[in-house]
Amino acid sequence: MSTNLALHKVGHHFRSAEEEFESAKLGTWLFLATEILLFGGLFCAYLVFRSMYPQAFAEASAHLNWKMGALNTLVLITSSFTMAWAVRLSQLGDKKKLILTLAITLICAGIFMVVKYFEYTHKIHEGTLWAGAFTAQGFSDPRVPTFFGLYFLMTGLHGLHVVIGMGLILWLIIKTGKNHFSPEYFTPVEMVGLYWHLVDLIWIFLFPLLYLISGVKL
Amino acid sequence: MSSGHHIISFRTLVLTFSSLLFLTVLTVVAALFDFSHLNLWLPWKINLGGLNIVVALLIASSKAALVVLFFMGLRWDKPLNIVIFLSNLLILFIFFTITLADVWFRDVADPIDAQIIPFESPTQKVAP
Repeated sequence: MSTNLALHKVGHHFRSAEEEFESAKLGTWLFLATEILLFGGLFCAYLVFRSMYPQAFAEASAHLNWKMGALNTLVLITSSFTMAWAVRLSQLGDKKKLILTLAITLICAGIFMVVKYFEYTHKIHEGTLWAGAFTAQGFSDPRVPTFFGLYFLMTGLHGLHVVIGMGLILWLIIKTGKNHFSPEYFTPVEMVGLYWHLVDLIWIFLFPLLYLISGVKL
Repeated sequence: MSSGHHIISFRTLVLTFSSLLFLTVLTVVAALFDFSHLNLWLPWKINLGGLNIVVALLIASSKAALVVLFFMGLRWDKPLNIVIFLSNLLILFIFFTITLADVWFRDVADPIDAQIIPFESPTQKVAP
């Protein structure tokens, strides 16, 4: 089927394809470690401010739509599943299904950003923004803007990661179409996969911490 | 296992995916209940919403463990990558512990300085 297979040449500074793959994976894990520390700083700030102003956090969180957050959680978990599946298919060399699973992953990421867009525009309309831009009325606790500052910082940085991930997945789809990957060489698919799972991982913590503070009402 | 790479079975992927879906539903169901009167930090007067945040973080951590072990395949990975991830968690733990030990227990360590610093709301104009 793939007669015009674009063969990957192992870098001259590696002894083998195996060594090249392991180096790429080591580098990716080190990068993900810095990402965890980056978000870790924000989660730490969250714990500090939430313990200082618990009422403000409960009041502000009640204004978030938990159903939107739950929907985005399901969407991201699904995309993580299809991404992990894509890595498996790239290892097996199933080009057709690989493009399909990557496309589903990309669509899920797109749905996530569309939901985020609706949430953000609603908040801009309401004026529930960070301190300095906060114009909403009817909140009893003066520290409510602190919550929204953290909300926009955390979800914004996470959203930026989703957008970058979408670009990377699109790049994978194009490269798959050009027969760049084979069971002998699937390094980019696996590395983008690791990155994408981390994006899912961050959201797994963001969802309960931002949306479920004051409980849910069905 | 061909050429040292572990190919994760489809069965494992589906089981991980369905467990993640189940735990997502569970975390929403748990939020239907109010455990805020069960405050584990009450002796130190730290208010983080009682047992609710503990349950939420336990479920989130389980989900994170599933993603890392099976979707990211750390379970089958080289020991060096596992060491990087675990030392990362250790650094994160030290970072959290030192910061929160200061913020949460400052008044325990030095009761004389335990005054709440007046907070000016960003939405209200500060009187000159």
